[in-house]
Amino acid sequence: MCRVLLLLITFSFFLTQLSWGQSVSLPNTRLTLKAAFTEIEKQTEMSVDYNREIIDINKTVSIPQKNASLSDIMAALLRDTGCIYTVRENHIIIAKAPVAVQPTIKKTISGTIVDEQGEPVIGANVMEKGTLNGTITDVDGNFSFQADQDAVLLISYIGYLPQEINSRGRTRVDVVLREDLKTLDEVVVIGYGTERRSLVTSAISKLSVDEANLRQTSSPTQLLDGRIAGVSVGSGSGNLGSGEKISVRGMASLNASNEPLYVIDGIPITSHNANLYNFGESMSALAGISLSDIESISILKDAASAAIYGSRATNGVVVITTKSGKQGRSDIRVNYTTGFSRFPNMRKLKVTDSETYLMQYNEGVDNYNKQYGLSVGDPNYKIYLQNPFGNMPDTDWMSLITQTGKMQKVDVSFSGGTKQTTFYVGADYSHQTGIIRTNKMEKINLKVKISHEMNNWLEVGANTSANYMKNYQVPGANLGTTIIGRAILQRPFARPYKPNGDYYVGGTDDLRFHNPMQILNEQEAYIENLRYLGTFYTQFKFKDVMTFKTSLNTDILNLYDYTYYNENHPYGTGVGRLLDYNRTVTNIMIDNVLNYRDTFGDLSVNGMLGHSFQKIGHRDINLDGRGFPSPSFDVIGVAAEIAGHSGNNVAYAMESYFGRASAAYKDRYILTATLRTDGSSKFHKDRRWGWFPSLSLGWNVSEEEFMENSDIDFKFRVSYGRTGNQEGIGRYAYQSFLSGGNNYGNESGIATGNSDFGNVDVTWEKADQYDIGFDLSFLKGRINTMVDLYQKNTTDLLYNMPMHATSGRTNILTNIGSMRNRGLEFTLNTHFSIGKVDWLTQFNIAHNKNKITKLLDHDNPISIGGNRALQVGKELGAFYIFKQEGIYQYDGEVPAEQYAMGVRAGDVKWRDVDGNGIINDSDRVVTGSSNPDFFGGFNNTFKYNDFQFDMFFTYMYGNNVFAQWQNDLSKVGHTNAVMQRYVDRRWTGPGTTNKYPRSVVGDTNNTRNSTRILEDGSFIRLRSLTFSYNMPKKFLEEYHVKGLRLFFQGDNLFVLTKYTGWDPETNDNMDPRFFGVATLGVPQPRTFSFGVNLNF
Amino acid sequence: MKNYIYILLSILLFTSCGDELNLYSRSAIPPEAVTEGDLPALRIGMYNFVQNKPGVRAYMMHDILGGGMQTHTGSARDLINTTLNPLNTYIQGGWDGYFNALYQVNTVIEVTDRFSSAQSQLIKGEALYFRAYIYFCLATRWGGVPILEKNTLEKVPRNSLEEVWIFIDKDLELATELLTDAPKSYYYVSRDAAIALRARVSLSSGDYTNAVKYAESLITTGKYKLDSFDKIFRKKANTEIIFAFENLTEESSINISDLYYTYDHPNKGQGVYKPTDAVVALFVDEDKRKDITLINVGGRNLINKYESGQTGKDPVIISRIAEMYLVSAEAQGLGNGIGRLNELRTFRGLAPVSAANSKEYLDLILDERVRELIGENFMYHDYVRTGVAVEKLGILPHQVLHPIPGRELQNNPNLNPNPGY
Repeated sequence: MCRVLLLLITFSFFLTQLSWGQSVSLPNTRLTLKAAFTEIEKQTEMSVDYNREIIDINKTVSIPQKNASLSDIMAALLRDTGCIYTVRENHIIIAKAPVAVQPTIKKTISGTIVDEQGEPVIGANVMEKGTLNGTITDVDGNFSFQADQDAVLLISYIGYLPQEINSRGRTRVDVVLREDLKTLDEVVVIGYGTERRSLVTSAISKLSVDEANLRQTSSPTQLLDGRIAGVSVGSGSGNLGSGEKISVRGMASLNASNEPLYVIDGIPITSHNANLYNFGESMSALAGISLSDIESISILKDAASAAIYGSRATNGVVVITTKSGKQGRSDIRVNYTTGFSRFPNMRKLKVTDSETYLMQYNEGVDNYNKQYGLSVGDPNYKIYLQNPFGNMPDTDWMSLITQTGKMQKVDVSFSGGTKQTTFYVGADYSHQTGIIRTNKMEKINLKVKISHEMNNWLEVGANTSANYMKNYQVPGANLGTTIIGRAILQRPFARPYKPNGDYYVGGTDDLRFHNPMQILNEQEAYIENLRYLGTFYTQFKFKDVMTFKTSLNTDILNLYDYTYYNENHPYGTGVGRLLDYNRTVTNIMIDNVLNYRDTFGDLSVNGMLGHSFQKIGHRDINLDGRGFPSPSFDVIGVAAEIAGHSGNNVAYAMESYFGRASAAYKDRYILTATLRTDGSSKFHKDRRWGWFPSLSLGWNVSEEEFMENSDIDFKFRVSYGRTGNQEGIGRYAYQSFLSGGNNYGNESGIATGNSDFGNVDVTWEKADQYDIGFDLSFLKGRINTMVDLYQKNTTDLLYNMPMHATSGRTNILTNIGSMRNRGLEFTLNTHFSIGKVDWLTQFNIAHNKNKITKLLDHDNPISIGGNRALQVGKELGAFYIFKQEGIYQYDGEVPAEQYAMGVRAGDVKWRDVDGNGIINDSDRVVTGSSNPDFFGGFNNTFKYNDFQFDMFFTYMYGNNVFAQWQNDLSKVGHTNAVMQRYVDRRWTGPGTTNKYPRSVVGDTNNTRNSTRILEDGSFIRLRSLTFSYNMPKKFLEEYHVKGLRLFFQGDNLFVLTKYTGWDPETNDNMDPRFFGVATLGVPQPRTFSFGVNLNF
Repeated sequence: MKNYIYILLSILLFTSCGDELNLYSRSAIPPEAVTEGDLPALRIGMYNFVQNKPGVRAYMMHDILGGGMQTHTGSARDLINTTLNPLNTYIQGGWDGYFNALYQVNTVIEVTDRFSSAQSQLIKGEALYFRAYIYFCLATRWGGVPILEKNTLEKVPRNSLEEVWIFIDKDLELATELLTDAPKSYYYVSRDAAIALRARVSLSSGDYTNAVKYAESLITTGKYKLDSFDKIFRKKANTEIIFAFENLTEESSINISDLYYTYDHPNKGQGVYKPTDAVVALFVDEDKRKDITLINVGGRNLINKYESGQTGKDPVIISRIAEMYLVSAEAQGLGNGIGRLNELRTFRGLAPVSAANSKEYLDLILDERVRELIGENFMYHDYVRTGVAVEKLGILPHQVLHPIPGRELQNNPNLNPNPGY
């Protein structure tokens, strides 16, 4: 793969050939030290390191001869300076010559360092001020060392305020370290590196995953729900491992991929649906990843931070950092969690009983026969429906398919390190059952992370994880066997089993829809994902200011999708059918990154240059086998016939060059610039390369002299950047094809399908983003705020533009138009103490406004899907539907054209936009939006002694949910079940209602995609409630246990909403264009869990 | 120090992987690479597209709208009203699919024009047949549609129905010249297939003389004879079929049976459409067609002409000799035509009939067409072309044409909608 590796090997050889003992020739015998050093550096390729405070380099010296060995020259140069030198590797280090001092009397000082909770602080630095003398604390927080009688001790540890303590007259010093509430100096992950928070000039938010905010989600991204301003997490359904959609600062692309780029420990991973055969919903790409290994999740929100990832970064970057071993520690952690989950508010969707059902249906029969003047014997005459089961009790279909889900999870990790080596070994196992019968998931995650410094210029490391997931699926809302749809929509008197125990078969007069019990019992459908993530790197270090890191990153994913319908299943074709799908995704990347960091007086600079090559291949084999001797034969080899097959081998590749330069003056003024260029195989070679620059400025106002005595931290940031997008389009999108596989009569044929029309002009979609913001902290860090205002302009939107079908195609991939997202984000964190109670809050709120600014050559709505349109001036997410204006109260009000189609009094009156009397496609209006006006989260933590209580809310306001499911459950006079509400409120005569239509069978007017089912989806959800107790140290010490935490957590305990469905956050489709549509998906469960965290 | 930087820069700058960015599909070739050697594959691709692209409901549309079918939930008229809507997926799917198939056909015609070999001319004949077939399907649904002799990206306006009939006839005339009498099987287009289609087109366009001429030419060759339904619809050797799509399970997306059979049939199906009681009543017990045409599953009558359900797919017949009998009978009129009608009836086990006038005769013909051809995509067009649709189906006058799909109107402002929609 390329020449990179070869060059690296050459480079490593070169390093070993550096030589130390050589002769030097100076130009003169009389010269300044500075000139001499420069000359030595030039000739020896070594650096001369000195401190201007100990040596005056402008001093002119005389030396005996110009040419001499390096050691003689150095000795002569330093003769009268009071300095000596040492050679270390390729450094010549000049230091003050030791002065003979009066020996002082030493004493032994010892003590214990603890934090505010009394926990020992392990690995804290204890130094004697003004010397290099010191030590670090051991695992119990104890230290002991020799120091001067009058020594002043400096005690420091990351994340805590440093302390100075005068030890005069004492031999024991016990210290309580206070947490540093200023978060400004945390280390933040930026692309290809890290940076101190105070020097970060872009909008980066970070969630440090800890025991208190960890929820029992199936995928790590769901942990972000409500935690970070401007980041919204949408979910598919409440089934295990269901899909999710993260949007960062609104939706900036039209094509299917609006997902952020996920980077795990430096590997940009493929975000691939976990399933291959669509089982009615999309499945999370990240559900296989272990939650317990995650240390933090950072979101690079603005372009200045994300542009270093160039293309693929338009929708933000989610950087997941996993745990590592810490120097000087040795930890064993064991966590165990168990719990159960329930279907929340199951009775919220109340369908009628049999009696009401028959009443409203037969009323519809009467209305139909009456309006067409039909009598018995006419061909279209409708007859009454009777309950075929007499007086047998109604079936509670929902109870039949639901269950209490159970969950067990255990993980163990061993971590630690020495000065040279750190390691982390973790293992994780979980088993979970869903709230729908037969839904279950099993996960195993294994992880090893190690790094080692071979010497002071070479570090090597590896970070690998193996992830396994097996998920037994239940049919989602988009499959013909949609499990809730096939239960709740059954007529109330219908029954699953015949008296002899056989199934009633769906789609017959006995049972309106597929029998849900037959669906669940006679299928076996699971997905099995194996994912290997591995990074291997070597890092060369030069003079402490420069590193060169070369890494090989792999993300290998094997997806297996098994769907077996045995001969008793409705889809079993009577003989059994097995869909056996396989895919291997190989994502391989080579990175070379050069980092430079140095300080020149008050100026600190940081530079980075890099090259990366990434290739992602997909290999598929899919088989559709039919004919199995009995349900116990369930592997593809047994199939009598392969009724379908497909297979392909495709790839795309990307090459990138990138760089970053930043400079900070006194930490006060910070300038950062980045530039990246990406070449993608998805574009024609003339349009292949995209350039993505960014520039950001920061001003730490609190570092100014006039702020010196203030306890306010204030940083002002402004940035601009450009990012790109190429996801969601075909790998060979620019090429036109005659594709194989279009066979006939067992002969192979080629033809041009819809996706095979190339467009060589297609190029990168680009987004220019401007961000202005500030970070403000006052009351000694007790109140922290972060405010950002941004605008993101996407241009050259990639889209499959609809075409007139007479061209032979229905769409063509093109750069279609422009879109704008504008928004405001606000985060507020506080930390107060009320008596002995510590009270912490985290609050965030974000507003985003999307607007399509340019599309085709016209401004008319472009209809997409069944209920959406794209229109200039409107937002992506607007609905394109019919508008109800009321109910016709009298037949005379009905326009003649509609009367002819059977519309009568009691039917819905639709807005007739073009006024032609006919209700057709041109009468739809662009209205509403699935985007919220604002959304966010609010967390409260109360700590009292060893107890902690966390209460976390998420909320959204002003979004519409298109309740598609109501189209099925609201039909009065129809053959499926109907909700009580619609029967109670139906129109029964003039003046009864202006909203709810009458009962009529064979209705074609009242059920349209319309404002009738567009609902307000605003909500406040009690996302989680956690109560925990830390066992006091004194009980544990005896058992050599460092910590023991017990907790109880309730998740999704209630939702306050006007929405009439179960859950305003379940979505039928994760595609941003169609987001916000609810079908009969399983709502997010209500979960209760208990657990213990043990730390040795 | 500087040397390191040079080395590192050179690593960064000279490690180009540019060539690795030229990636190509392994399951397709670019169109400019087509040679004469690719023609056979292109021909097969054309068969596949014409068979598959219009979608399964395109093969059922004239039945769905023909008054003889209903869903579980509504009457035949409800089904017609729901379907004839510019937003209806199946209306749009048919339109898109026929034009997608036409694109392949025109591509093949263009390529064959570059070569003069016998093979190339034969393939051109097949392509011309398919183009005529596609235009017949388009014309019988939407009336006058844009005529595309070559593929174009232009936003084309509609031609008149008259022009479309002339265009179809011209293609079929040339196809008849180029095609052979003896294809591999009746799953491939033959000269006879072109003649059979020409007979049908003539009947639809009102050219009764030619309709009789072409239909009789096939009836009288002796190559085709009426055969039993059991052979015709159960993939057995027969003398009926002139042309059918083979529709092999692995190669096709057209599963008609699935939409007729229900889940309590052993072969399983979604059972979306079922024949109305009126259709069922047309079949007397002596009718030899009855058992293959209808099946009673769980007390419900279902169309039984396609037997695979969800276990596979069945051939789709485009032309068979019985249709020629009916074309001839209808085009010749009561006087001479009733002989052919009774010939067919007798063969199917029914007694001969007579009619007092042409109105009665037309009713007899139309009823016989239901008995013979239900489920084979004829009924709606039969009622429309004979002018009885409004009366027989209870539809509104504008519903004799399908609506131009709303999406198409939006993307091509030069297209006029059909009135009333």
